Amino acid sequence: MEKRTIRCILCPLGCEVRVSVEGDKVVSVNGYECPRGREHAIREVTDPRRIVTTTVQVEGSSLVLSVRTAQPVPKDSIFDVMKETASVRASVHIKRGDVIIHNVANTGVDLIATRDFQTKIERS
Amino acid sequence: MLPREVDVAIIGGGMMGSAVARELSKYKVKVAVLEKEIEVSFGQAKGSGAVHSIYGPPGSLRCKLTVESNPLFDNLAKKLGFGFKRVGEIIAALTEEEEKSVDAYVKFAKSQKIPIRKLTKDEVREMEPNITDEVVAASYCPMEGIADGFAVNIAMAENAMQNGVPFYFETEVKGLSLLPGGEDYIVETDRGNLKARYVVNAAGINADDVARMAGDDSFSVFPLRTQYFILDRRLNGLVNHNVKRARPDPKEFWRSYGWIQREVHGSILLILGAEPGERDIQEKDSEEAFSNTREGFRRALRQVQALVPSICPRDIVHMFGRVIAYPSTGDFLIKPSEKSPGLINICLQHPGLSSCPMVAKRVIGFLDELGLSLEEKSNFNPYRKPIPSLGELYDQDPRYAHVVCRCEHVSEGQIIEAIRRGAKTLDGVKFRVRAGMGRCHGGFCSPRVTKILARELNIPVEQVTKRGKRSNIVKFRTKKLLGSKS
Repeated sequence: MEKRTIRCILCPLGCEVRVSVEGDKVVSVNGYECPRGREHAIREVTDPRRIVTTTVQVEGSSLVLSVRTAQPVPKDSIFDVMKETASVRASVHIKRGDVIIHNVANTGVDLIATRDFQTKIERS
Repeated sequence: MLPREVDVAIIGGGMMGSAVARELSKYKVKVAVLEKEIEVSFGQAKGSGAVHSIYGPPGSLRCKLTVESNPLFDNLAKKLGFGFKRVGEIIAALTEEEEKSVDAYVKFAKSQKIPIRKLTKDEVREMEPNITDEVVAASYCPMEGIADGFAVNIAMAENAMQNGVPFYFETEVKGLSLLPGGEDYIVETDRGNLKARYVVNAAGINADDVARMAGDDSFSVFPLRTQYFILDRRLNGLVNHNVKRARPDPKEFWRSYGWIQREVHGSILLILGAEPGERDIQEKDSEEAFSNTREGFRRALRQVQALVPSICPRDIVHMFGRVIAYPSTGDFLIKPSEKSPGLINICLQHPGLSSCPMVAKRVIGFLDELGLSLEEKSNFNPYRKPIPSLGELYDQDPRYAHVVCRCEHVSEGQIIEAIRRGAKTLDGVKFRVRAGMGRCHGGFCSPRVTKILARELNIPVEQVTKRGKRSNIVKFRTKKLLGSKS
């Protein structure tokens, strides 16, 4: 049986939530002050996820386009997501929210643009 | 590619190496300058920029060459196109003992026919409104000048190159020995060997190592650290002259350990030299050699506040340390080696810039005595044009109006010209046109200069360095690291 302590980041209280797991089953959760904190700690222990923010190269420009995963992806897949961003080049006339890579790194989550991008004459 | 054989090999492309190269370029002599850094002047100590009227104990070679060189600078500046200004020097006394030093200084200057006069307290305050109330007397010498040490070094080197003396960079001398027969040297470098009849050792802080390669262990170099503190540009005009503090001991009237220096570009610099016996750094190449100390900062501040009380710590915006080579023999060492014939050793100390014209002439004199044939070139061109200023060549090249460094107002055209003249690194550009020397210290312009260097030198951005070796600005392209092919 494993006991893990997760410090919740959802509010300034910063509760130290203690989660006991047996294999992959949650046995007990203590130390939270609200239900959101309880859920957060359980998620961090059983299925930790993150939103990945990065950039991709754009065809015809030396500037980069800022992107992120539309939803949090498993922590384990972060490096794979990053690798895939290096292998694509976005083309021009992008609007914020446009999907740049569908189902990035097979996470089931899309990689989307976080800004509009028109190809301009490159400035030095 | 190194030549196979030269008449004179000059080891070191710093102030002395370049000065000697320029002198030799007047004659039909085959010369090569071997410099281990990537560009001219990078091995230089970087002095204060002062062109002293007097420095060194009376009777010393140091004093003689400094005093003799000073008057030559107006002409030299005009020919070589570097900025030079005679701002004058005020040595202020705050006590009676110090006033004795001032008197000794005035007496000595007059004996050397250097224009000088003693000032009354009122005269000092009139000439320097910001100076302390406590000043009791001062001397004023109008001959003291200022220049940019890098600019002078680069100008001399460019003129030498113009007149047929090649400089070889990233070329480090590893061995120096006489061939059997004793007539020629084999100079071994990390880029090959060359044969030279005469060798001029202008290796600065490494001069003793070079001499020892040839079996000459007659002197050592001690590293002395000088610390520099640059004041914010809003304090430009704080002083009208270089202001020094008179020594408490009149026997040392000629020395100055720290002073307020005007720079030829307008900024004010506080100099803090090492006190005698203060060998405060152990290793020449150490990080501490190039750093400042808290104690140094405090001391420099105390020194300047004694003269100009209105200065506060916040006024110091930049600082760095530099190593000055100090020969174990005490005085300037410029002489043919006794142990290794045909080798001329140069090992100086402060002031290098102030004395370089006469040091070079002295070296030529020795080469002459040693038998080098000095036939004058008819086509020697003593003139070297400076890099044009912002906007100057605008109608021929609009890039001279495209500002890249906003702090110092440096245009793309000037940066391109600096590269054309030999700058390969950020510092090379900086020392030639001042891009990166302003208030933000390259924060704004460095990426732009980096891109311009990559474009003009036709190299990938990853290969541009700050000053050679492994100082690359861009180490990796992150996407390339992740496997991107483009």
